[in-house]
Amino acid sequence: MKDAIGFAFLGMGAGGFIALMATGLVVAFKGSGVINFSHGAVAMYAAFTYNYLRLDGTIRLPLIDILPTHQANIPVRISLASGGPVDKWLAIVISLLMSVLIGAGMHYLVFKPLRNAAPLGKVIGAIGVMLYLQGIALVNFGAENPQPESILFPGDVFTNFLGFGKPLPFESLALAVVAALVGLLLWFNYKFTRFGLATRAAAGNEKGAVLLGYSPERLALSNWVIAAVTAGVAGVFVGSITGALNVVKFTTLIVPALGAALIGSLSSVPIAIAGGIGIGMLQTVVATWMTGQSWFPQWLQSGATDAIPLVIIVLVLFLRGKALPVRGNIQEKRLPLSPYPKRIGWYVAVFVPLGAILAFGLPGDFIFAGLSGKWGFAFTTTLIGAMLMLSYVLLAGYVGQISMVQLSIAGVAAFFMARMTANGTPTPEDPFAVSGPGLAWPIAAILGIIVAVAVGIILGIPALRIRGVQLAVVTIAAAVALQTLYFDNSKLTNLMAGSNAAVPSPTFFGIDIGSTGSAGLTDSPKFALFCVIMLAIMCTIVSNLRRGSTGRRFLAVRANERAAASAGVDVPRTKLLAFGLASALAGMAGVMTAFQQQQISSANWVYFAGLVTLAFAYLGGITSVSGAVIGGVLTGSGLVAVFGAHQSEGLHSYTPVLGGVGMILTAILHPSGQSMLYQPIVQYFGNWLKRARGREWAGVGRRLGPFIVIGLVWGAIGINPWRTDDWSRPWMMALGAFLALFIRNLVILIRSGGHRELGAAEATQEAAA
Amino acid sequence: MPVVTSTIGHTCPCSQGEHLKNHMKRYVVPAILAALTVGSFGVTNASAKSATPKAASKACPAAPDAALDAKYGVGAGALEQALACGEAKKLKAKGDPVIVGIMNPEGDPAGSFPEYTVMAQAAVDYINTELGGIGADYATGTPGRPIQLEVCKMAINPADSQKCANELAAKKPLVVYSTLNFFGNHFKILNDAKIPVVVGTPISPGDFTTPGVYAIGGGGGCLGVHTGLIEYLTNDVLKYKANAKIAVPWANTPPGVFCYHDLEKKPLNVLNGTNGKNTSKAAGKMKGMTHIGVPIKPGSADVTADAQKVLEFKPDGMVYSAQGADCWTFVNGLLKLGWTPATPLVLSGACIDLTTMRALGDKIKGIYTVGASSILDPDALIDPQQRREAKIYGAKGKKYAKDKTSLEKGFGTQGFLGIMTVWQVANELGKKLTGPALTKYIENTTKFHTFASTGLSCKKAVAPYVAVCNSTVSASKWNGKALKQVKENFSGLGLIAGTDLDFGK
Repeated sequence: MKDAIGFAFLGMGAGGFIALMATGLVVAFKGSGVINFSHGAVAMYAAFTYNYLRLDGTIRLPLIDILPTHQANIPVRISLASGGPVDKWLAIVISLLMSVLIGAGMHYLVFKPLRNAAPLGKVIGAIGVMLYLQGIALVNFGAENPQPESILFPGDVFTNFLGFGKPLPFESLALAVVAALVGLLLWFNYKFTRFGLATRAAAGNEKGAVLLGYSPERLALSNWVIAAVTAGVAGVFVGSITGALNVVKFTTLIVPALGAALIGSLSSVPIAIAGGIGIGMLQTVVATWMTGQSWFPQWLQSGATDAIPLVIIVLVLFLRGKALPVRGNIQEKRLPLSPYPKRIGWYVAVFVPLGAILAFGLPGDFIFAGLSGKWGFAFTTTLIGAMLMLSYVLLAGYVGQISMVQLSIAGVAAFFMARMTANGTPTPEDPFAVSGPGLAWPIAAILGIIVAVAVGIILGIPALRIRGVQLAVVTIAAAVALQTLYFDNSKLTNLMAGSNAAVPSPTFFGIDIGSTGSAGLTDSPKFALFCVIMLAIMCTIVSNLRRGSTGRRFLAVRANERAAASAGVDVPRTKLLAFGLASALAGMAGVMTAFQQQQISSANWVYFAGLVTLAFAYLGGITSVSGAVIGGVLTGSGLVAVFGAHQSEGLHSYTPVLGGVGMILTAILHPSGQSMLYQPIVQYFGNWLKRARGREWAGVGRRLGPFIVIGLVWGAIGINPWRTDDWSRPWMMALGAFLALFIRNLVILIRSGGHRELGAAEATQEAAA
Repeated sequence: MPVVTSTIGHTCPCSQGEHLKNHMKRYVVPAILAALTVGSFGVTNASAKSATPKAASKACPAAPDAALDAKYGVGAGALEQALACGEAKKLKAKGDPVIVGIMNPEGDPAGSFPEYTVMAQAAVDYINTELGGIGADYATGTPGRPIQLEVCKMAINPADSQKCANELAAKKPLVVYSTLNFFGNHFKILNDAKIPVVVGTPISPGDFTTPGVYAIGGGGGCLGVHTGLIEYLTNDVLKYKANAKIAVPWANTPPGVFCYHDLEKKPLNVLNGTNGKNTSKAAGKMKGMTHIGVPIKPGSADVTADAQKVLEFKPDGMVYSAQGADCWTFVNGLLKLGWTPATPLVLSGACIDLTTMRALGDKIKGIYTVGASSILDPDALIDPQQRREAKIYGAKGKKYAKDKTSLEKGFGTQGFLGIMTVWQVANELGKKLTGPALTKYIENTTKFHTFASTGLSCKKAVAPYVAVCNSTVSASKWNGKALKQVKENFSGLGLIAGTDLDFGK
């Protein structure tokens, strides 16, 4: 036991870091009701800022110079010391000021506009900020992994700390002390100052705070800045304890911090601090001492440390579920409306043949030979992505349950199916063969989906007591635990040496419907058709669910659980039903992914990717089946991603940044997602096309033609010579035309005082209508 | 008139047209952003003009020097002829390009290594501009065909890995160069498409065990490096000291489990005589030797406790292999607890990070690294031919790299060397420049000399590591300012000869 206690003290450094991170999460939640998944990214940016100030004396602002010229530039780098390092304490101050800047920016640009958004919208905003900061860091700091210097007592060590026989670096203790001091300061601030009392008042009842004359926005700004500074302190002072810096490191450490924040009920800074230090010490003891004991279960050795936050979070939620605060807001928007699906049969009748044409091409391959190579792969990836998105639509869109574990549940189905099809026979291609019963693929796939449903229902149990962002926290912790306890656990998967799980190619009455095409590429049209049919079936099921009594019960629970219960809806049963059905959909996506890739590993289902997948579902439109399809199109390695990479080599480095900005803008401007955005536009232009004859087309040509021509010329001779990339001239011409049209519309908008942005013809048509 | 909900939440009794106008208004700001975004196509820095040091001009030999082949391996003479002729007079490649595909993780926050492709492109430019491309005849001054590098940048996820394999395979390349790939799920696609694959930095199990795949990067991944670490520590540092205590912290990742158990723990058991199934001459040479393995999870919040566990064992020596920066996180943990290099520490070559090492300076003076020779400091190399080629790397890399910082990065070096190796092998094929011919040539190589690296010996690859072609390693010692090579071209594979695989189950 003395040994264990000694190791526990060695975990004080990690604990101090977790505590500081938890503090920031609590402060942000108090200030604006957001569980800030981007908190780790803020800490990362501050840490990188400090590191580069000490390295070359340069400040890298969290911006990108998006102007494609040498003449006009947005300043991104500020050099302070002619290439030399700046003083340590000055670097600390500047890094914390950077945190202030980021915190204020987050408030004004993201969370203020989202102040009254649905909890899911705020989650998407936070994920957007996280992606933005990570992408900016990658652009500004590169992919270097520098070792940060120690700030607090470098080199000093207690040789036998408190007589437990273990040394303890001063730095570890100092970080825990810094965390405690920050906690004490914030506790004093929130307990005794006018600002603190006002924040607590606003957190409890924002309307009441407004009536007392406090501005919730100013309070939120102050709290965002404080939260960002605590992240900055954590990032800068953690120094060499967490080791090499990288763009995602602190983000992946957010889960234990969320656990600590929940121990403090998302309201108590001192308890969150104590919880954070405790979690750090406990994880260290488990990792270095407990797992080495003979009594410790072998199968738990992998992942026991990472499962601790989930255990703590679930315990806290069960013990204190009703006491957890649901922060008061002046007005909280609900999720966007879930449209009633119409004409499903027609959509399927169009979608399946269209999918078949995309897969196989047109007869004779004269005009179109079908999608092949990377396009064929992107097509099936899109279809499978849409299947996964359907699970989010059902669970989050229809029932309002924010789950971040759907991707992991897909992985459960895939891994289980792979094990069921395995027969333990090694081959030259797969020398590390996995033992298994060698079942036929349909049976194995069904078993995989059943297991996924079981896991989904178990993970849905916490949802009976909690909802909203707290459920999101539980599910992300569950995703971490699934990854380390199952996917990475060779004792359970039997996967040796980190090898992939092989999945056999499916056959249908002797016909190979696997993903391998004739040239060996992953572009088999038969598999694409298999995906099209499965997606059509799943879309039909989900649409019919929405149209039927089950869908009405789902929406009733989403709207108001108490009202639903009073109307006779069995809320717990409805929620668990939704978790089960959503898990079946996710499981189907997992099984199809396994068939597509034929080799799967834990990397397919990284918990971190689950956040981004949820964001894609939201971008597409989380409340509709069409949104799921668009979400699938947007998914990583899907059609949009491949098209983007194909057309825009120069944009590759900016993908995470643009993705983050896109998420933030969607959450703010169009929370119902892309599908709802396109719907009226498509309808409007569809109607116009139906009406348009030669005269209308000529009118468009007269109005826009000159601007397009001017733009093309401008692009060719005005923009092209100034560009600094390797883009071809036609793209610069297209850019010129786009900018010319944009400026034209902007001028019309300004001249008309913002009332006539569509131009005279449209106005005339509207008047006629 | 239909009632629709506007984007700001209030109900708007407006027509579809008005609704669309509302949409348009709301998209003025995004449109500006979009316009600016489109404008961002051009945001890259103009490359500065490079200054190339003048290489000493050499006469162009009429034929490859067979003596060089005998001394440095097959192909050394041909390589030297090409290099010398290129120095004497640049020979620019002509004709239809030969496509070489390269897939590399870039632009993903989880990991981005643009230096790999930057330096690979630099090698291609060097070959095409000065060395006459593939199949040049230096005796007559007839140029060969230029190489065209097709790059597929991928995010670090399995789907993107397969996407890149599909994309490159569709371009019908002669060979695909897989830089570093954590998944190994691309091999089947490329093998099915009958396209040979060479691996620069073997990481995933498939990199070592997939037939038709050839890990050409120096060091041979954990197979060569881990056994090399044990060989160097026990033989050269500890001199087979009896009753020695050896600590082996290891990266707790799925491949790490295997690499530790099969390639570190097992050879140590061979040395102390507890693993009888061995044919090594060193078997049982360290009777009474004990060892401890300490798993270290990459990305942990704090590894101080792990470091303490290692030091508590009071080891006579330690070896550690991890992914780059994780090494120094652990070394910092050791330093904080009072460790000094008086207790020898041997790190893998993947740990070499000169910036960090220079910052630590004398604190780590005396530590060793084992792996592929670092060619960044040519004067520290023992082999004169490798030294010459390393100097050419420095000069030509500097001349042709579009981003000069890539030149001094480990993966940048591998990118350049990998393409040079592909070019060397392709030159040997004559007019049979096809994937199957290249596959056949590579899989039959024995001590094939490669540019500034150790030789390819794919024919001698041992099951199940059938893809590992280059498991020879070298050792270097840190003198407080630089790494100096102390032992060249050795292997620890003998320590596991005749043993059963140990997966660490």
